[in-house]
Amino acid sequence: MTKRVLCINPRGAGGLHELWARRLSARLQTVDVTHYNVDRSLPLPATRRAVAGMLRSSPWDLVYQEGNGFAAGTALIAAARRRRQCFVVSSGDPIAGFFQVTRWRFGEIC
Amino acid sequence: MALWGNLLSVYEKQLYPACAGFIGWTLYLTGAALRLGARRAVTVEGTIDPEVFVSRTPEARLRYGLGLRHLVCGLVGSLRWTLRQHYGYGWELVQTLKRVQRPDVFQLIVGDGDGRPRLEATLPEELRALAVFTGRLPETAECRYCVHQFPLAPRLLRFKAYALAARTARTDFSGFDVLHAHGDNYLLDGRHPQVRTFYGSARDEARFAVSLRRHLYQWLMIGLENRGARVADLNVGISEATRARLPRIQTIIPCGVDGERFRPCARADKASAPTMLFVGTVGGRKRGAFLADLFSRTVRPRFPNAQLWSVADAPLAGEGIVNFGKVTLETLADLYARAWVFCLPSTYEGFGVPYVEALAAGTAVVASPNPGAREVLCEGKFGVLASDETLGEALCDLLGDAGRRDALAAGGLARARDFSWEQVAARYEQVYADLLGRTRHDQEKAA
Repeated sequence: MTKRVLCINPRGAGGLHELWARRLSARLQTVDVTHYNVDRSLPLPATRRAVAGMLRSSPWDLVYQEGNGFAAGTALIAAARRRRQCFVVSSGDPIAGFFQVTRWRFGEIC
Repeated sequence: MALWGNLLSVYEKQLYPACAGFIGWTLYLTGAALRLGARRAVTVEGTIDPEVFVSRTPEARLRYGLGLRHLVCGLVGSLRWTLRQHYGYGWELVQTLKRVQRPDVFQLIVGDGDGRPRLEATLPEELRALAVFTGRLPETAECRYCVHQFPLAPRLLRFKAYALAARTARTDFSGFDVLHAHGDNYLLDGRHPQVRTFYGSARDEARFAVSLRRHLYQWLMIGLENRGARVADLNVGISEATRARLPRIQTIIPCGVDGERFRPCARADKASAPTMLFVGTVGGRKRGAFLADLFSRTVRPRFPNAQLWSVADAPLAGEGIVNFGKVTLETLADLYARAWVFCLPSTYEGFGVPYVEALAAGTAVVASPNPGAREVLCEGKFGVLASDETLGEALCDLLGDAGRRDALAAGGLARARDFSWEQVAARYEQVYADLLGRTRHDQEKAA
């Protein structure tokens, strides 16, 4: 049976994350890939609901999220807990880890 | 901000243990993810899009006051200032300027936010010119689309045209106002309103096919193509030559060319030796091998330093032939602009996008008199149409006549404007609007 992969692009249509996800998935000839571009005009709770709806819409074998966007990420955490949704995160932006590492150091420098 | 940082910290501590794997763009990120509970993590560096991030022309540097020999460091991001940390993105870059104090080292900071004035204020007056703040810049041209990629078992890859038609026939398109098919729509009965664009005709493809297998395949496609035209509400052809073969085509909208990408280079940047460019396949109707043979027999004896640049699926053999293989669009645009002459001796082209790209790049075009070339070049007004017997002579004449090349290039640039994406997109928008209007009218009439 064909595997189904959902690519979530939290930075919306036309962003570099989307282009990168498409470039990667274009090589997957035997996998059913669906790209979902988050609508950046929506507020955070609505975005989260939209992503959660997308995750529920089909039994995805794998979800790939480009970037660690909060709205999509929290929907993925919930899906992983409720339905054991398997997902992978790819990120180039530090969020909390960065805060934890740098919280005092830059203060000291300055 | 501290609260936000702690919230994100909680979020990441939940996210990473829940994920099956983490892909970090740097070792630092991968390590952080593992520390925060990711079960597996891998570092994949250099995750950029080579189609988007390419070396730009010197104008891009000059636009921001950066010299061609200046060393430029930089960052792209949100310039938010964090009061508690007394830190904002770009802080380190600005500090390095104070330490380095070299007039040829610049920092390019792309982005905006409340940290920007603080960063600017940090610098002494004499160093301010070395930090270039651009504000927010668009990443890429805005686009709004969603792509669904149909899966295909490896054993079916050779039948992908038919498999795609079968899969699209089972797809629900009810959420769309217009369905626009660029091929293989012959099973899309009852999907309205529907536009189909034809990029050539199977009848002509069959006529000029060089292998029996291809010939038979195209003959089979003729029936499917006609059925596709019957299924659609409106048929668009890319050329009059295509319409001549498919009478159901109502509108002609040519293929477009990216005028930003394909544009002339400065005269000094043209190749120093006589240079011909070929873009296509070695075999088949594009006839790269034929051109290579002609180059060796006719052109090289007249111009011993001449080169044939080949962008093709396989290498061409011969002295003076430079094989580039498959190249990026940026490299292709550069080759078009720097070559003296572009030659594509196809036996058949439904339109001939490479001809238009060469015209847009300000390079003289030589073509076989195939239907697409005749239409794009207006029967030889904007380029040279030569039969197989006269092609070698025509190439030599053009390589030896700078005045004629310049005249053809100037005319070609004007002709290329007829194929700008703006014009093509506007015409398709009009087609969609007309079709939607017609559908509404029919629905109201039926009601």
